[in-house]
Amino acid sequence: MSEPIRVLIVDDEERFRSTLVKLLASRGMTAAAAGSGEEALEVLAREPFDVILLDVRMPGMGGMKALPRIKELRPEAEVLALTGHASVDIASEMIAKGAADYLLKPCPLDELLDGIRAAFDRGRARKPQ
Amino acid sequence: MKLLLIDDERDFIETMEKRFKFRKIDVTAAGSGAQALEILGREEFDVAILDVRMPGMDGLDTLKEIKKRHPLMEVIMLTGHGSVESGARGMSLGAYDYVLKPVDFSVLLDKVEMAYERKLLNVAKNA
Amino acid sequence: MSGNSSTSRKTPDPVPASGTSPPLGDKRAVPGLALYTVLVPVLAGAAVLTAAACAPAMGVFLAVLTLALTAWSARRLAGLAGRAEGERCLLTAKLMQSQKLAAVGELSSGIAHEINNPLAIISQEAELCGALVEAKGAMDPELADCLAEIARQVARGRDITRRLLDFSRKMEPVTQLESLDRAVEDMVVLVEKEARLRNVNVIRRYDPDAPRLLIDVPLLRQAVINLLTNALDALEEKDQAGGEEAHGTIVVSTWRSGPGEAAITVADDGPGVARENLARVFHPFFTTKPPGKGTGLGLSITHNIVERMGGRMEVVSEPGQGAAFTIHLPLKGETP
Repeated sequence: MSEPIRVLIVDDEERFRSTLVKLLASRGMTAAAAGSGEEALEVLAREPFDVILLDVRMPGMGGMKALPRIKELRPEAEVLALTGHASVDIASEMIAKGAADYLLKPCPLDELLDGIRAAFDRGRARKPQ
Repeated sequence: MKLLLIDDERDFIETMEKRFKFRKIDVTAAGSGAQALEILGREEFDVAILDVRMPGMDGLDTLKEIKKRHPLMEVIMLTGHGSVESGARGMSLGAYDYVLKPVDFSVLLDKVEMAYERKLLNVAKNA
Repeated sequence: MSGNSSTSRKTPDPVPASGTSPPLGDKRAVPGLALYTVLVPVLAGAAVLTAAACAPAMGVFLAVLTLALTAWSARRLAGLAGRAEGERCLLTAKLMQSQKLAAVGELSSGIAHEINNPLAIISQEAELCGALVEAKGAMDPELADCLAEIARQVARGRDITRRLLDFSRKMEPVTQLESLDRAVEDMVVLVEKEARLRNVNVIRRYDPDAPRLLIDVPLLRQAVINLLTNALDALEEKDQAGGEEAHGTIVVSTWRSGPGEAAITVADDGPGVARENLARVFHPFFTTKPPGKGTGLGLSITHNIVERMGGRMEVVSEPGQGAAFTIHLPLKGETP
């Protein structure tokens, strides 16, 4: 058995986070949540994650600002932007800043799981054995 | 100019490759959308010619991913069966043109050159 | 086909008042004003002086003549002033319309962003619901159907928000010199193929001396294919309404709509737009299609694209006889 994928959900919508934590857990992943960019950085300073789901627009530190700092703190983690803010320009900016992909809310669970697995595999492939 | 050809039809790719090379255009071929994205992850291209109907990841999905990751690259969509809805979607996703096959090579070459010019203008603007 | 439909086909003479550029009227008024402010008073003065010097009968005649002259002059002046006011009103109305559309566009993309978050929560709750019931072994077909319906409706909502977000692409236009018909031809070819299957004829009326203009080519293509899609949809509506075998026609023309302006018109002989709806066709969500079919965003997105290119849009329609949508584009960078 391989280790479960560790996912951190960063989103300011409480109910979105808590339900997604349960859903990911039901699919065999380990999930934790943070409500803002600042909180995400705190959590990441304590423990590592494989994949980070990052909302772009949040009160306080948003995803755009948090992304480079997350990448600095945990360069091995893959970041998936998951946001209701659909704009081609923002998508390409997030990807240019190091996000693995940009998924739009609402995103069907299967699509999201595929995205998480693809990001995880990508992270694996990048890591020197 | 660096050109990427994305099509699952071997014959088509081979003929196109030859013709573009003959015009001294640096051309690379990809047999699928996934392969194209992989190549684009390693190398930068200016223009892509992308077939709409491919097994696996189809042309529109590929276009969307390309535009997300390489917004300045221009993409010319090629389609064998004209679908208006697909064309409208392709254009709204940021394709440079949506062309019905068969297309005259010199016409295609002209479009590739126009698309390349646009890419250069865009790069200059964003510099 | 009736003679009426040919009016919508011979497009290059749409809306008389708004079609011409307003400043022209002002220029024409200037020599006119000299007539009323200089010539008429001088004539009147001359008549009075002449009357004082000659026979009473002649004086009466001159008085009547002066009266007629001044009355006519006053009327013309009042008419000119009224027309200028009318033109100003029209301009203001157009400006307000365009500002209103811009505001509505901005508002709707703002709303789309906001709505995606609740949609995401709804879809997740439905997923979790399904997983919980499944885990208890209590899933029955009806419940599964309910949950699937929630997912479908979320997907429908998502489609709408995605379309709305086309508004928010802020990429600056990149202009290239291209001839009008070359820029639109690929879209016409694409539509022609599907149109043939639907018994719709596509006719090209390209201006043989089509100007080359500095334009964002893919953006223009997007606007054109949206208009063509709209025309095809309109003809389909007609097909469903009239029982007899319907042969629709779409005419695509390029023409000079004024000095320094080129235009593309897409005209169809479908049901047309009801007069009371003409002012609203470019509003987001305005649609005459049944619910679930079309979001009514195509034309508003097109309007938005055309404004971004520095052009303007116009619609002419005779209900029952078709509609003609025109994109006017400034002729910047035209090569002589």
